[in-house]
Amino acid sequence: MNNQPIFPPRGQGPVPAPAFLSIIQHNCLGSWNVFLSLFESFKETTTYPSIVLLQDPPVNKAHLPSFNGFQSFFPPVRKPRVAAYVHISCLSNYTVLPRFKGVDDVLSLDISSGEPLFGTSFHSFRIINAYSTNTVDHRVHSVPPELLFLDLGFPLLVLGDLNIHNPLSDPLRHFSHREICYSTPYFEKAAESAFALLNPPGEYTRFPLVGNARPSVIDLAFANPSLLPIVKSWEASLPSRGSDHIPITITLAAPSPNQKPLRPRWADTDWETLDPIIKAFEVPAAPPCPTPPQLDEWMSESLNRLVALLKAHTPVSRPSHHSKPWWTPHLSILRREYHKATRTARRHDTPHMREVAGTSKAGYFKAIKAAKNKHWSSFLLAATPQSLWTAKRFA
Amino acid sequence: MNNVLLDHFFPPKEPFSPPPRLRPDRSATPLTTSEIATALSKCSPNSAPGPDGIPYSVWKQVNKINPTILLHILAPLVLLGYHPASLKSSNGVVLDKPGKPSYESPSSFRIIVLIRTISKILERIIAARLLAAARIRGLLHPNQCGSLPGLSTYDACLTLTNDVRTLQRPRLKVSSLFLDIKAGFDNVDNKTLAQILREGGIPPYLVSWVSSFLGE
Repeated sequence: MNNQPIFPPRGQGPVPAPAFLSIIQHNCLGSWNVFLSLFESFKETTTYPSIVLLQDPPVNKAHLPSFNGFQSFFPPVRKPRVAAYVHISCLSNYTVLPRFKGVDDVLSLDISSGEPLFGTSFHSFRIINAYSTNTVDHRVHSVPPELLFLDLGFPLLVLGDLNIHNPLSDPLRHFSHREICYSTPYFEKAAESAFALLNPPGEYTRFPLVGNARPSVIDLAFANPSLLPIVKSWEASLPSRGSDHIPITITLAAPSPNQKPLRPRWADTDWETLDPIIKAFEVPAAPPCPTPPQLDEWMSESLNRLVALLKAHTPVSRPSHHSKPWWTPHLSILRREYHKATRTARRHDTPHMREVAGTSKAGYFKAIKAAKNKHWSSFLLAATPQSLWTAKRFA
Repeated sequence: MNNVLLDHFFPPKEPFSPPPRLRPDRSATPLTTSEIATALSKCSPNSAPGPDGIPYSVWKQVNKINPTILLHILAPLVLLGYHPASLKSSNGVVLDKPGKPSYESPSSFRIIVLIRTISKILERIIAARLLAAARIRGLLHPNQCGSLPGLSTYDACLTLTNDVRTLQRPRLKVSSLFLDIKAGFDNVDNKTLAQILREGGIPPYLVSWVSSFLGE
């Protein structure tokens, strides 16, 4: 009985939003057995996932299978290649609006609530589910990066089987030039829009069932800066359900109360923009002969106005387990140069350009290694007995 | 019975007294931008900020771009002799005192209180004015080294050793007594301190600010 989902009572007014939202991402290989095995496995857990996002779902005559307790959404085409199954309890708490882009391999869900989501100031967020595969001419993938990594002013989660290989997601493996060329535009576009990769680098998501092919990291998930603070976990801990991909669970939840508040990076305040604003800033005159409460109010208002102005022009540090404490602005420059050189070498394939691209690549990865070493050394230098456990986590 | 009912339904009203209005002290020297700049120059940019998270480095930059902002914010507080309640909010960091046999007692911990940096700038300005007033009126002990610019514990130790050596030279017996008043600053009585300051001839707006600063 405990394994059955508890559906919220209907018609009894608004139901408070749950404290977390779990999202399952899985490539079904078009198999009914995989689909059934996955959904049946939810019965073994205490709670159902809120949203299940499938790539290559089983389709029969333009119809997808249904499962008790879930509402399905899929592109209105003959053979949809992506689908979303939203649990009925999620539909009770949120408004879910599917968006179709006129293609069979991308599906967006806009999830909105009357209340701010998970302690943020946002009332809605978007999930883009994509299944990107090689096109017929094998030059590009079916889903371009521009369709995925959108510059939105609210939280966005981009996930799917993108079929791309890159050292950023799988750092221990050597990739061919072709694979790098395929994947680079995606990671570049993601970096331009400040998306963070949620996959822990090197954690495999696909284990080929036959042959000698190696496992790979191709089921990727990216979060934009607005979503990142509420990403609680990314886990590939569920067992395989017959597909060569493994189901991935992403949990969104309010940041822990123990989590430190966002800290402004005062060293990076945009003083150039602030200069004319500060020069023109006028403090309102204090009331003549005020009472103490009147003076308190005037002081609070004046200070708050000024502080809000300063904070609006100061970026905040977003400490999360996805951020890289060893990253430096110099590495960002090297990264840009490396990708630029690689692009140029791809377009004008000459020995000189290849050499430039190679040197740039070597320099970039060498600088990453040096930055990591430097960070580790500085950490050890400043270490205290209490740092032992942090060191253990790093090691 | 009648009285009980009367008290219940018509309770005696406490006399309404409006909050007293603050009047600017005409004798007070108006705050200047140079006073603020001097106070800021002594502030460490790495000092931990208070609840608003604004470090001294930001106030220094703001004051460099437009010196009238801090002047217009702080000048009324000096003239009116008032420390606003919003500047009294603080973040407390509890640290354990090292080497204590037991940490079951609150006295085994120390609280580091981080108040807003703008509040500390105002405190520095008032402290400078108090010091000047106390020096003019001869209120300071000649051997006081604490809270005085240019003097430190090192000077206090030198004074002590000098006095001891001076007395030892003619072969006199010398003994020193060290006193530590437990929680001395915490137990300062606000009214008594204000009375002492008034009697010492400290300007009324400074006495008023100190009372407001120490008050709830």
